[in-house]
Amino acid sequence: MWCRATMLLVVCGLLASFAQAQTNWREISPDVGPRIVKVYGAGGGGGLENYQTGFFISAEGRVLTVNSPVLDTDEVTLVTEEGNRLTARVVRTDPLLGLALLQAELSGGIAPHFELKSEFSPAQPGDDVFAVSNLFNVATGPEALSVQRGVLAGKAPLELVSPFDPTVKREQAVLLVDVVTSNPGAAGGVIVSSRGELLGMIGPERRSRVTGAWHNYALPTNLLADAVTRLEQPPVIPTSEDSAAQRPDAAQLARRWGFWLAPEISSRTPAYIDDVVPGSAAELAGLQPDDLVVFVAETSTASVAEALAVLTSQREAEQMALLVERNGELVRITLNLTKPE
Amino acid sequence: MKGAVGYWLLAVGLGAASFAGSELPAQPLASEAERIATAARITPATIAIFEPSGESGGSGVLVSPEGLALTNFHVVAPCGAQMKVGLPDGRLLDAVIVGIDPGGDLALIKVFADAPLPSATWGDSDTVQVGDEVFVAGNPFLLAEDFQPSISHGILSGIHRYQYPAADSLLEYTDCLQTDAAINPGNSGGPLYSAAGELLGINGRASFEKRGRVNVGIGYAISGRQAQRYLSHLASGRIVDHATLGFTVQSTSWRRPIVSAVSEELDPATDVQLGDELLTLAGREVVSANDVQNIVGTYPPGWPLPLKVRRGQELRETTVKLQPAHTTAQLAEAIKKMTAAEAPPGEQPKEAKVELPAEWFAKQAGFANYAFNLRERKRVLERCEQKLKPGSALHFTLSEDGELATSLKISSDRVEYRGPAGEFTAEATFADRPSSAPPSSGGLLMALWCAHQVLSGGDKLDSVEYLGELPLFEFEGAECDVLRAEHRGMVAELYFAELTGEWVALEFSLSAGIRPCRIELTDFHEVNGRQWPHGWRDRSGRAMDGSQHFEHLDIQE
Amino acid sequence: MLLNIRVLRSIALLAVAVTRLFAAENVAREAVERVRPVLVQLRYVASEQQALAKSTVVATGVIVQPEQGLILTSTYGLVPDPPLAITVLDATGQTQAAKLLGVDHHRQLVLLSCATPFPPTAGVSFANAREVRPGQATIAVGCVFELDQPTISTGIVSAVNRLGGIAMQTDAAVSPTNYGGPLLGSRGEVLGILTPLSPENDMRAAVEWYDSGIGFAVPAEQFLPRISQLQAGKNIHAAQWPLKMAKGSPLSTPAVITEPAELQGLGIGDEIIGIGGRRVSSQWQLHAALGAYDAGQSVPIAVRRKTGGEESLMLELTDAETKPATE
Repeated sequence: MWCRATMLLVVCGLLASFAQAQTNWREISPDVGPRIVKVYGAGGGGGLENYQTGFFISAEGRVLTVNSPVLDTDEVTLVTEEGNRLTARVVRTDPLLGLALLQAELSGGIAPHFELKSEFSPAQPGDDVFAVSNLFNVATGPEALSVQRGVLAGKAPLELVSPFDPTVKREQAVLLVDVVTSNPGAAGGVIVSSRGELLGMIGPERRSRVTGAWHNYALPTNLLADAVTRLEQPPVIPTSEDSAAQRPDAAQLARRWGFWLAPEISSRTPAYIDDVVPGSAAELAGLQPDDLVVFVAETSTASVAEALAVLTSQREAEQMALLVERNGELVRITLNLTKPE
Repeated sequence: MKGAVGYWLLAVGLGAASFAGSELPAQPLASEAERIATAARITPATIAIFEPSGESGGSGVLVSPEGLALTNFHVVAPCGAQMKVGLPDGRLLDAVIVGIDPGGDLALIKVFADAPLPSATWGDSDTVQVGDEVFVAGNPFLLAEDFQPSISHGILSGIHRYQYPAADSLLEYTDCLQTDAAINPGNSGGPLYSAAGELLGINGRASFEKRGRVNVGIGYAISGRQAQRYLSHLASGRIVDHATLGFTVQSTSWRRPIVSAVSEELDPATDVQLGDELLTLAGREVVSANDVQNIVGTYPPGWPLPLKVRRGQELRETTVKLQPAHTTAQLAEAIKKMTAAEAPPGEQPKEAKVELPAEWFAKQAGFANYAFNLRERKRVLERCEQKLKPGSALHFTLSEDGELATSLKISSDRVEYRGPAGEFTAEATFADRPSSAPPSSGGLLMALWCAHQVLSGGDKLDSVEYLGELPLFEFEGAECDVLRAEHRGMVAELYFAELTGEWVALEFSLSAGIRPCRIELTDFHEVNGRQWPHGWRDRSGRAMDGSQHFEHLDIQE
Repeated sequence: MLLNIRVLRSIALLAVAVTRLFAAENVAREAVERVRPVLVQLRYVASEQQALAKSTVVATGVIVQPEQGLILTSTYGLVPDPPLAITVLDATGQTQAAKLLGVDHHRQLVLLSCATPFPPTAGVSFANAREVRPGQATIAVGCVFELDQPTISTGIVSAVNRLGGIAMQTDAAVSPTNYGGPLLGSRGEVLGILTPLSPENDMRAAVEWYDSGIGFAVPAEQFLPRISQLQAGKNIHAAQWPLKMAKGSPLSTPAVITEPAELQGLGIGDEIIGIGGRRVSSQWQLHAALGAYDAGQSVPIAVRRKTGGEESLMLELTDAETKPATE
């Protein structure tokens, strides 16, 4: 008898924990759902959607979403999952990440909202996540938005995933997910952990610069928090010096390092060495014509354009490491401007 | 380095063993074992459906051991009446169309096999919630050369979704389930299962976008409840229609939907007026016109739905019997268009010749396969105790104080009534209009004559058909098989309890727009070894006597 | 009795706590950790003429034979136009060039070799494909972004023995992000190598299916026996059926030969009733069975002669290019 009862209870305990292996969306949805809104604005014709997603980030009704043609209107409409309609206007937009900050007109009360944290998400690849968004505007009525489940697939450098401003630092990463979020209307939606914590915001539909495939990604909370801090401050007028950086032309390269890259016939011309200046740093280091430059300073370079871009970013350097392919072998070449004593 | 490749080959053999002893999280592995078990459980009833030439196809799910399988209308549309079905055990079997529902994108087929087939177990699609784990099984891109389904896993992303009809099509997805489990072209018509492996719906649609027709995490399934309600109607071999309330509503921004037009088709027994505010329908709150359509679309015509309206300050409750939304001709025209849309571009849908005996296929206007209607009619009458021999007559009597007080004679050419209300006769061969006697009964005597014709297999009626199952007069009423007879504008529907087969009720309308007569049969006693009703209770809310009882029944056969 | 119930309750609570503790570990991450030593990041520098959208393709590869520097990856980025250069970054941080040895067009796999051997990679194992079951967990792994932070997508096995038995199917997201990478089981065992396969083996169609919930992985039983062939520089193609057959629905029409008049002992009117030990009663079944074979393989055929009587013979299968001309 005692034995049987023990078994029963242990089984109950196990079942209770198995139940958690099921998704716990039921438990977290009452908290998460009301914080997300469907955003309706301009568009609706010519293949342009007039809908996207956003979410409250303050009790006073600040809403974060992506900047898009949907917002090209004086007022946008926000619809909550319960069907409440709110009017909102754009406060400011962020060209760096393509975000927009909205202010909703709350008719009293406080908005249920996510707290933006400025630390990078502690979530790890393989962790369960939910993506919640107004994809395809499926939820037209007073009904909850669409929920997809998956795992955090990993992290990728921001610049590799999307053509955001190249001045954004490389170490900043976006979150990749293994659910398809690259859908009309999904941008501005949220990726939350299985405990309902905000991990990131679904970004606009973009093709990956690495694979060419449509990417399923989210801008992590820390980037969002930084952006919102920026947006809440008075705008700074950019100085003209910031854009002074220019690509060195071929002659400058030849003067400094002593090699000529192949003429850039197309944006995809491979970075072959066309010529090496006798007695230059390049020749001393062993660089040869017809070498194919595959890495410059640890960055892969698939074309003349990419090689020039890296050389630009390193224009003050006194040393330059190249990895070249020569007759099926990889050869490491270090160019050195500082003459040995 | 010789033998290095061999090292890997060895690893193949040892793979499973080398991790046997390693510590692993217990819980995810337990759920993995459950998923493997579920996949195995849902596989046998999942079928691949092919157009006979093998050029196109889709999926389906067996729902009865006799080989009835549900699929999408748009899967069978290019097939004609016959199709090939691949079973996961590798068998390729023949199948025939049974019934179609072009508006709801459902179809029922019958798979021919010489032994009972596996079939799916229904789950309850009304109690599912967003976030519940689900499985999809089917034949995407016709990958299953061996007819083993592809199984994908995900969650419910949304419930009660409404998907607008496409242009030039009746097809509308109402109250459907949305899932992120992969649904690709070819998955159409296949099953959506719960984590426990119970059937929740029939997959049929997905949102596709810039990448063309591949899954992007948004698929839709017709809910299992809707499919279950339509199942018997499809089994009738008919081209099944969707329903209209008989009135339309308009969304308002400040109030609930308002009744904006009332049509002639509205059930005359329904208490709804122009300007009423609709609060609930079928027990569900409604806030928009879409909400209303989302509910109506899931019930076949004939279904009684309760509704609550506000008229001024007053709350009223009433029931509406849903009416068909289209005429037979409208349905046929729409099917033609939709079938053409499913055919490869530039090709005319071909009229495939049918190579089946008449017992399995028969053509008739308004039917996908008339042979199945004949089968169902036969089935309903055969199990019904109140079946009559042709030419037999019924004589009901009631005595009061030793005197004959009431008498009702029903025969194949007339019905005679004599009682406190007076004396009336309804002749089968009426010259201009059928008898509406007794007064304010809605034509009860003609109704009983029609019933007599149906029960005795008489040949005087214009048509008799099996309709499907409907609840008895009320939303929560007992499920009944319904036989529908039409004669010169009169319509009689006989209800047979699904459980016992007994004839339990009769609904009759003399002509459209006239308030129907609805009676429930009562006082069953044994006569000649069979149970016969000896009275009725009026269910139409008419002024006539609420009920009638007889003491004695004499059957002349 | 009261005490007993308390004891029981605490035992139950303990059971819950223990299972939760285990649950805190992440199966996918653990599995990926086990295969990290065999993952490599590949970069293909494309020629200018190449029709790919990208000038560099980054892909994932799996070390299948460390001592000989052999890497298996998918055809993605390598076929039809081989790149100008291939670089390999391995788990130790070394970058070296790789050579393309051979292409298995049938399974969409490519064998690469590096001059410098890789460190031993004990501890990685392949699943026995015969024991893989639909519904079991899958973890698709790629490393096109960062080799030390592989990307993970999860799902289940959707079907086994697909495409004639050369691949298993999964609903985990499979795309250029992980083509060439391994598909793992929950114990970290390699179920197969992810490749862009499709029924007609139309590379474009296959790539278009990425992230659609239909992905394929070629199990070890399929690729290991072919490594020596690829290593010798012999490319592999899918077998094509060299004979024309009676017209009609492939589902129901028997495989009766109509052309050519004579080929390897087969003639007009003969019906194929078995291939490789599998009975076939239709052209559909014949093609399904054929899917397992490569061009150049000889396969036992059971044939019912036009003149009556059944016979067995060996038929050498060809590919599309070497198919004998038919009149």
